[in-house]
Amino acid sequence: MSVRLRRRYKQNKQPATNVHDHISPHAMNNFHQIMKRTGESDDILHRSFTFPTTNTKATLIYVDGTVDSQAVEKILSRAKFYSSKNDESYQSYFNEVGTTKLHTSIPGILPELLSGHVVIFIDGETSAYSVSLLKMSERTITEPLTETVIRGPREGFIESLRVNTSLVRRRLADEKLRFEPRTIGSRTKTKINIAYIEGIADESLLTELRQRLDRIETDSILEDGNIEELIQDATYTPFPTVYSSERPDTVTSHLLEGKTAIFVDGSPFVLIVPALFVQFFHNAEDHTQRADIASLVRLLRFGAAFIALLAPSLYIAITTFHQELIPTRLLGNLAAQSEGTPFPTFIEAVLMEITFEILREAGIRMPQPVGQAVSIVGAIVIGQAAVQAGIFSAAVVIVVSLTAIASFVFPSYSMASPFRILRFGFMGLAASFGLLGISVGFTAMLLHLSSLKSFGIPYMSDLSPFVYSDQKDALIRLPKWMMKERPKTTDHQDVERQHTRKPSPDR
Amino acid sequence: MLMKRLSSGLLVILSVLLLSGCWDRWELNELSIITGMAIDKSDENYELTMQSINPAEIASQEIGNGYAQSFNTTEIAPTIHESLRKHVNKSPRRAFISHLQVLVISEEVAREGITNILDFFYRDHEVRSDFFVLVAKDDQRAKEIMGIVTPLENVPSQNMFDSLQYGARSYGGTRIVTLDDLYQDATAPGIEPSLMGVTVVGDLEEGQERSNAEKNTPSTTLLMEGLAIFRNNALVGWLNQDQSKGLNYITGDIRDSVGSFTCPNSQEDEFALESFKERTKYDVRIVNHKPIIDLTVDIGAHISEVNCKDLDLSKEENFYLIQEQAEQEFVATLQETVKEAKAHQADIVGFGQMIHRKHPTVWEQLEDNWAEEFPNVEVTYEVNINITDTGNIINSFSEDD
Amino acid sequence: MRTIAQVSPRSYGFLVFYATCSTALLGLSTSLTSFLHQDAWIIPVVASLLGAGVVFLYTVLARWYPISTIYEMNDQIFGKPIGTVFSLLFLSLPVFHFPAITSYSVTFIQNYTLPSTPFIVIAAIGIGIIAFGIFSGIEPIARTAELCFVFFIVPLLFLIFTTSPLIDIGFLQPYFTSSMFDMTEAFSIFLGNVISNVVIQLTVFPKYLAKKKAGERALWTGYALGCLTLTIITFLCIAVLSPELVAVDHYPAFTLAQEINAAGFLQRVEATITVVWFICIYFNLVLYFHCIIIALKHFLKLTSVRTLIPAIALLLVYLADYYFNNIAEERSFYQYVSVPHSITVGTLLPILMVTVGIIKRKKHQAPLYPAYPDEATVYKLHHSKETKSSKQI
Repeated sequence: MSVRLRRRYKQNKQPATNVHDHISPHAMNNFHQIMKRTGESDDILHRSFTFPTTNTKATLIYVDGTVDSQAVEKILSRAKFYSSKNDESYQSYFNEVGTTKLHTSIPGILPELLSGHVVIFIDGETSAYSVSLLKMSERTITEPLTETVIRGPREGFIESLRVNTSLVRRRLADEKLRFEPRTIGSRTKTKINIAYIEGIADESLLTELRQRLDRIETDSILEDGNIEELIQDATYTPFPTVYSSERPDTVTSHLLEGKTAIFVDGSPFVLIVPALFVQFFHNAEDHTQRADIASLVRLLRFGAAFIALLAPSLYIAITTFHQELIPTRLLGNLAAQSEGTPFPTFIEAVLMEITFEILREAGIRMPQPVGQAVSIVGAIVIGQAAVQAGIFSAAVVIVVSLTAIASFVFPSYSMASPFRILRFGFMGLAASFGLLGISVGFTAMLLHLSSLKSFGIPYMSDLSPFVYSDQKDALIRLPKWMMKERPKTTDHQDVERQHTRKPSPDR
Repeated sequence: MLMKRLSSGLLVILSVLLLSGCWDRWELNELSIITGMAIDKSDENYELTMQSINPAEIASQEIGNGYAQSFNTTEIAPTIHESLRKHVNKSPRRAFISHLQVLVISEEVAREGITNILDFFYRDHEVRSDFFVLVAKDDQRAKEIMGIVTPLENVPSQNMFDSLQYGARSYGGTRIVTLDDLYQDATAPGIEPSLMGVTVVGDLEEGQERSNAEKNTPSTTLLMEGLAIFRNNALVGWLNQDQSKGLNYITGDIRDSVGSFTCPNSQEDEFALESFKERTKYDVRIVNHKPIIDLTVDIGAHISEVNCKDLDLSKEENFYLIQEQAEQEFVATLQETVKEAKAHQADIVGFGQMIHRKHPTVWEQLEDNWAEEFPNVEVTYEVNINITDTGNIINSFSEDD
Repeated sequence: MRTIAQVSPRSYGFLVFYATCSTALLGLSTSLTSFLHQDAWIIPVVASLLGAGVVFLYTVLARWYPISTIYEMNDQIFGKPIGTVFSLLFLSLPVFHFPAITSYSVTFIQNYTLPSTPFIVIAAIGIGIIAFGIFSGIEPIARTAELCFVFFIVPLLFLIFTTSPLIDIGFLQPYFTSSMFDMTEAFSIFLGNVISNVVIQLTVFPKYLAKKKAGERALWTGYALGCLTLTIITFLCIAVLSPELVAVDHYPAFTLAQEINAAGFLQRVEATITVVWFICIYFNLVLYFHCIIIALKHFLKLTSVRTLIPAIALLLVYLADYYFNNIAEERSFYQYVSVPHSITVGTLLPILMVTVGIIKRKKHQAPLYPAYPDEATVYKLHHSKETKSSKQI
């Protein structure tokens, strides 16, 4: 817990001027002062006790539920064995139970008290002790819900910062792994750790990240999404420029590639910067499966991304502008389906897409048993009734379903959203200008993507600027023995990664 | 500031989307997909017949009402494009001609010249140049050919398209001429276009009836036969089926074909060769300032049918006999073809083009009155048939066995 | 933060590649074939080799002034007043050709896909997307060029490989029958439309490239690839479509794409092949726009021109709309204005610049073909430019 020494408090900068800020020699006065400041909050408890040898009264204050109550009992029960009289010994005595710090003002104590410390006031002392006994009720480590794998570790991050860092530390027992603390949020005082490997992570990137974190002036950081929105490079973009992961192994592998992770207390997601476009198409499974299938699956994902983005718009463009592109017999079939359908193809597709988005949102938010009912209704509404009633043509339903399935292939949920949003834009363009509209929209998208940067690194790196050596783990994945170097885009220092030669029985 | 920028941006996007809307948008159910066109002459005007498919009837899954699979409308106007657009007067949808598969020109129109027609089809953006062009033979009206309903393929234009396409692959008597080919032949120096003929066999009235498609032996069918010969882009005569095949051999436009030849040892009996691997080479010699064209046709063939008596195919020399016999008959066919073309002064073979390519200076002198010079061009023929196989059996069944 | 955009050499190579192809990829074979008939394919081969000499002049200029655009080069070679005149002459190239090419491309789009959509609407969205590119800056543009490569090369190779079985060598015969006069005329078309067009690269190269030496290599690679593509497409057009057809066809490469028929089912895909022309023309127009913007920056001594971009874009939309009254006018523009004008700006002007430059440098005994300074020096030069540029020769 020594790293906490570097913590900076705004309150500490201002000298305590108010008379009530001073710690009173009467322990109970301090308690009343604190109760006054916290508005007599119900969860703040106090226990008075005496050091029998010196007959000194003391008051122990803590927030119920945030500290280890057994440890509190331990402090109380061992008080009678306390014998020495000087300050030093109080501290060393409490240190036996938990990390203890000395405070001289009430405002300095409050944040400690509210974040899982036990505060002890001793009669006759003008300073107080805070003992770190944090023990919140926390979730057990479970399998992550968002990034599931068939083969690979089943551990996911939980809401506790310390547990999360420990999960990474367990995988990366390197002395160079650093966890740099920050506290952000004037009211929430959320604890944040910046994790990186010294010597691999780019120093200028770290400086930039620290600056951006220090620039944040907000009252609250509730979870990682808040941080992401406050530190990202471009704000007016649907594309995520910060990567978030629920998996310790993913975070570890990114740290090893010279990236930086941000742990936020209270969130089971860890942010990783810089984030590159291709990275959102990678999955932990890519590295646990064999290289060939992993590569093919990656290519499949890029293909699915195209489908998710463009399938409905291409359908609209081709069937309403470029009918000559369709083989004659297929055109006959498509035309037969659209006989008697009342809406233009564009309206049909938009309505279907919106229906699908509603179903999807309902399916996520509903409790699971209801969710099933939603999907049944959806399947009947979309799949059958609408076509049979002659409202929609079957081909549109096929296209929209294909799009929907393709949009579930994204390994990263945050990358699926821009594609969902842009899909509608492309549909509009396709309905106005056909393939020209799609080309124009696509060019605009590429220009936008090219102008994006994530912490100074071009977002489209690996693809443009094309880094040949990084292709080992970008569009495809090569076997591990071929990845002798770290990616060039994010790492410039300790480039060499391994010397393992190609495995062969002769060696 | 930001909100202002966002809202103005949104306004621009919205207005673009809303205002543009539908300049060029045509829903599938607003289009009538034209697959066939027929051009006849009616007084001074063009009579354009268009065949559109009826999607509800043609689709495999949809259960239609059992109506006809295609729908013909006829319009008369002085230009082709006008009659095309007038189509909407008789049909509820806009004519969409990108999927045109067959264009049938009546002989009457073809005799007047096809330059006008070429101009429209090349100028219009919607037309693709990969459809087949045919001439209605035997004074049939092109319009009537579009109305013949036959089994297997109920849409006449599709019927003709497939027949031509697969015919060229398996028999070689038909000649595929797309608009592109036609344009090339019509404009290139030293070659004249030739177009496939189509006619109706059987009773015309009955062929228009739906019942025609319901019979085992339909009373009326379409027949792809003969080649129309053009001179200065106007029709001047016809080649028969054998001559058409000969032309295909000379120009190297044949893939796979079957031909019957008389047996070397008896004049009554015949054998058949299935030819493949056809390759035509030509050379142009200048003798006494006159061009002589040497044609060499190399053919690889199988024996596919033998009716010859007492011909032992297990002997090598009999193979040569057969080859020689076939070669002679082949040369005769080729000569026949060229003779017919020369008779019409129509260089459909492209001898002029051959001279132009090999001896451009000689061509410059001949070019101006090529039509007169063409019949005087001397041509030598060399046909090499290489029979490699006799099919699954060697000798024919004979009474002796 | 570095203020000068750092275009990577590889991205830049793609940019040159596209800009070299430009509209020529779509229509060059027509103008060449109308003069030379079946011999037209020779011109791209011979002319691009000869054109290398012109491109060499550009690299000489770049080596002399590794941190300048052509406008600044003019000032430094001819001095401020005369240099401004020549800069204005150079500026006339993009100003004259931007609307012309826009008009040509929009007409193409109207002809084949959107016949009833008003000209101005297509021009507006086209120029809108160009302006958006300029707004993002030259660096994202170059990166986009690199990203677009896959959408460019796949259809292009598809076009080449599916049409090459249709080649009929007979269409190329007889060989070499054209007169010298026709050859020269066709050569001048190629020189004007393709080679001289490369001069617009001098507004990007060498100033905006981080690695000048690699940038020069990229310029050569892009030019070579562009010329190779043009040669292949011209050859294919003639050998597949016949010279007679190419000579009358407005967009022969598009007609070539109509011939695609792979395995019987991949046919009728020409509308998807148009992406090739879209990319080429897009990046060429972006570079023209960039030339105009850089010129404004130079002449008006502005630090940022971003606010001017929408206004100029609007002007160009209207200019494009009113540029030609009809297709005949457009044809005569390309015949009588475009070619001589491009040759003046793209070939004669650089020759003059290099000639004057050589005389000046001889006098100062400066090296005539200096090596590029290394990256650190370049960085320093860029940042002390205001003080130093006047002292440079």
